[in-house]
Amino acid sequence: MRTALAAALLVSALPGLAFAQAEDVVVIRAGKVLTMNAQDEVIDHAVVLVRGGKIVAVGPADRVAVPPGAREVDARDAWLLPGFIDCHNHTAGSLSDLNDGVYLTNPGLRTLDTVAPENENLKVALAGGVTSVLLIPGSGNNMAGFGTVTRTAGRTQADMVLRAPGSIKVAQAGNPERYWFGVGRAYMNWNLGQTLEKARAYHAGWSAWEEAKALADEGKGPPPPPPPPLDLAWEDFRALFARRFPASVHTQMFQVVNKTITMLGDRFGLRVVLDHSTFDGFKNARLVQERPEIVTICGPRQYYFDRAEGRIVGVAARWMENGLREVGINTDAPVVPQEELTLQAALGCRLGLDPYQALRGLTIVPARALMIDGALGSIEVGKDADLAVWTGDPLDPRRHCRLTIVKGQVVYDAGQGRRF
Amino acid sequence: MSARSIGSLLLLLLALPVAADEGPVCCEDLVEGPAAHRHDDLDEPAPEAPATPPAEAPGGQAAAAAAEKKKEPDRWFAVTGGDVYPVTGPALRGATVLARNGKVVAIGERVAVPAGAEVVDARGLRVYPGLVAFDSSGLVGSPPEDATDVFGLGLQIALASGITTVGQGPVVAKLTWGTLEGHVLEANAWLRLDVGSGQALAQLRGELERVRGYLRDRRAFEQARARGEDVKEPDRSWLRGRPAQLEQLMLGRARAVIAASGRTELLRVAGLVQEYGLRATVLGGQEAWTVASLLGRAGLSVVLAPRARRDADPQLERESGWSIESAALLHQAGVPVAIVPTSRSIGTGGLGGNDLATLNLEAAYAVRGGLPEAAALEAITIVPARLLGVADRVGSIEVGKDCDLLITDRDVLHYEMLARYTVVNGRVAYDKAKEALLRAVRHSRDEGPAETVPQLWPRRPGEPEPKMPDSER
Repeated sequence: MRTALAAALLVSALPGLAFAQAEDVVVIRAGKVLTMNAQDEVIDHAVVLVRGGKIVAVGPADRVAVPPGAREVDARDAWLLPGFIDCHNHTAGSLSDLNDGVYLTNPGLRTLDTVAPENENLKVALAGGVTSVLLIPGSGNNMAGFGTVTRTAGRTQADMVLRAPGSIKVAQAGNPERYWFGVGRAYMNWNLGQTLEKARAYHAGWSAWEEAKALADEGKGPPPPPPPPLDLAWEDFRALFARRFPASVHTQMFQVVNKTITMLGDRFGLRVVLDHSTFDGFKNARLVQERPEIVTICGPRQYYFDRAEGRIVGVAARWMENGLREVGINTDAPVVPQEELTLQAALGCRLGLDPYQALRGLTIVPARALMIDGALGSIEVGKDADLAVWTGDPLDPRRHCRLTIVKGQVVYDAGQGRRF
Repeated sequence: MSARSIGSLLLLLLALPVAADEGPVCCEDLVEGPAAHRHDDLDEPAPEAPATPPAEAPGGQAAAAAAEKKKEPDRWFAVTGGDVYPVTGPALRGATVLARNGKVVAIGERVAVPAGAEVVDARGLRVYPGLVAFDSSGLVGSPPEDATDVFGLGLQIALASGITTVGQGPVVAKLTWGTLEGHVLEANAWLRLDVGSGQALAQLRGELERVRGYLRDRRAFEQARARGEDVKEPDRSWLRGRPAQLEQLMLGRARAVIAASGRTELLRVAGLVQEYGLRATVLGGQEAWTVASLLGRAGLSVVLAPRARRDADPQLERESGWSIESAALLHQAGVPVAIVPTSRSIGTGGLGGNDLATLNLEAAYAVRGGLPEAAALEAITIVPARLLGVADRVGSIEVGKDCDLLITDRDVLHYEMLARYTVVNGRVAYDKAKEALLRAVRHSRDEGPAETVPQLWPRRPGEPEPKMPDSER
């Protein structure tokens, strides 16, 4: 292990592999590229060209012009996929800050403060081909704070963080009950609703003032009143209500998922990520189908044991059978180790999820859920070169991640020190 | 009828199918007749076992009739047309496995199936030996012959995952669905030794030294007596219970299991077994990869979970911590490796991927770390069977062994692998199409329509009620 660590350090110290310069060109030759784009393109004998950390060309080897002097990554016997994205992670932080449970709803807290670059869990996550995660607080209370969308590679928070706040973490039921005796679903929903109403009122107050000020600045209205007082408890909620980031909701079971859709989605108009979506939550599939913005992420429980029917139900497969076009997969790391994200998907497939859909559920679906699909989640021109080279189907535990690339630079090389 | 004549009749009956091993059996009459019932006919209830042995049995028909009252009729069972992976031999395409009274009597491409045999059509399927879990929890009762729940949910899930034999502590049991007959395979497969601390090791050494002293005295006594000297026999009245078990261990008649995961403990174990000549298996072994060749020289075997974490110690100069390559490195060093999941039970809470239900995927993770696929399959079949001392019965498909089979449409190490049928003691113990458990699971590459219960809410006014598939009624 120690030699592995030393080797990994050595890799990052090599001049050729250090941070990509703006015009640094990398050419990746791959046996198979799963682009995960909207056309579901899979290209055999492909070339992906990366310049300045961005993908500038993708295509069959004989149709992509490779500039001289480009640095070569030879993966001609391997598969190339987008780096995987997990919407539910607790290990990008220090873990000791998992869940500040001061109140039952804790508006204003940010996991950004807890991001811990290059921690051991993140290093193994990279070895599992996972390049971006949503770091969120635990579910010990109904609202535990704002999540952070972050890369798993990088030496500093500035290197890593993609967006903060990345989401508001809501745990609607199934854990916060432990907060105090007498806390049940009716109270939790009422209390959560009250908190969100206060946040919405704050947002409305500021929005009204900004509009008045804008009119006054244009000379079209009277001078605005003094601005409302700044309150850091509510400030981050403004972007939430402006739908610039989603509510990622710990929600499971039919009744709770139902309330997530109708309360957070319909009543408060938030972008909603159904995170877990387990047990018989799939009975809500039609409601989700009718609200295409809602993204369903399954895990880490991949099956539901239906006692009445005496059967094991694959949760992701059943959401799909009930009409969804896509589902995502998560780990809730460290509940399931982050590097085992692909195993979660494989377990979904074991119970009937289509393997290609499972791969979408590790890439473009979570990217869309986290609203980072403009830059990540597929291998397309203009997107960030966050990629992973696999020795075959990533869902197959027999295959491993050989190389992980973030912003065009190699951040994990199994040949230099195998981690997973 | 004398016991001898019954014996010769048995021999005659036995001789027929075994001959198939040598070459084609041309006896057309023996190829499955109309009486043979097939397992893919879901609607037809399985008829009772044939009341008479195959009528074609050459000779002794009168004797057979005479024997009928005293002797249970033979129970024939065949799996036909599958690709058979015996583990201890090369694969056979489109072969038949024939069993009589729960024991495999023939394997081959042209094995004749006696009329009246229960037949599972395995065309297009793969036939493996039932998987063997070295260690399990919650499946076997205490005592097993009385207390195992043979209709238990965990048992059925294990069968659906292809497992047919489990160790639970030193008890080795077969997952006989619905019957306790043939359930217990071995009541006391091994003896646990504790070297977890210096104190425990010192105590164990003390015990072993005392037994070694006795064995030395005993040998001296026997030599002296052989020379005709009048010597006093050494006292063995204290050799009861644990000292007696340790004696068996030192005589090589029993096996030890020693839990050890760190390198220091593993070195202790290697030293101990070499010093006392013990046959031992290490359970855990996260850091075994750092001392693989040493463990190999000590003759140790290792039972490990490929993903069981042990953090590297940053203060050490040497290699430490868990590695996905453990199983492969041990295998290269000649250490027999058996694979178990991190959790030895069967869960129903939804958090999968770590328990016995995915034993095959644990082996797949060892392949990820470099273990050859064949060795990975051995690590969940014949190797644990050997380490549990039951390899004469289970762990591979061989003539003379128990007919315990995993029949599936996928490579056993594939992530979509579910048992189609699981066979224990020549009986179908699990049939995916008949049990509610996983019947509705359909993989995207499977042919035919989905058989799922629509669970949609809300149903809009005027919409018809979802139609239940036939198999759900």
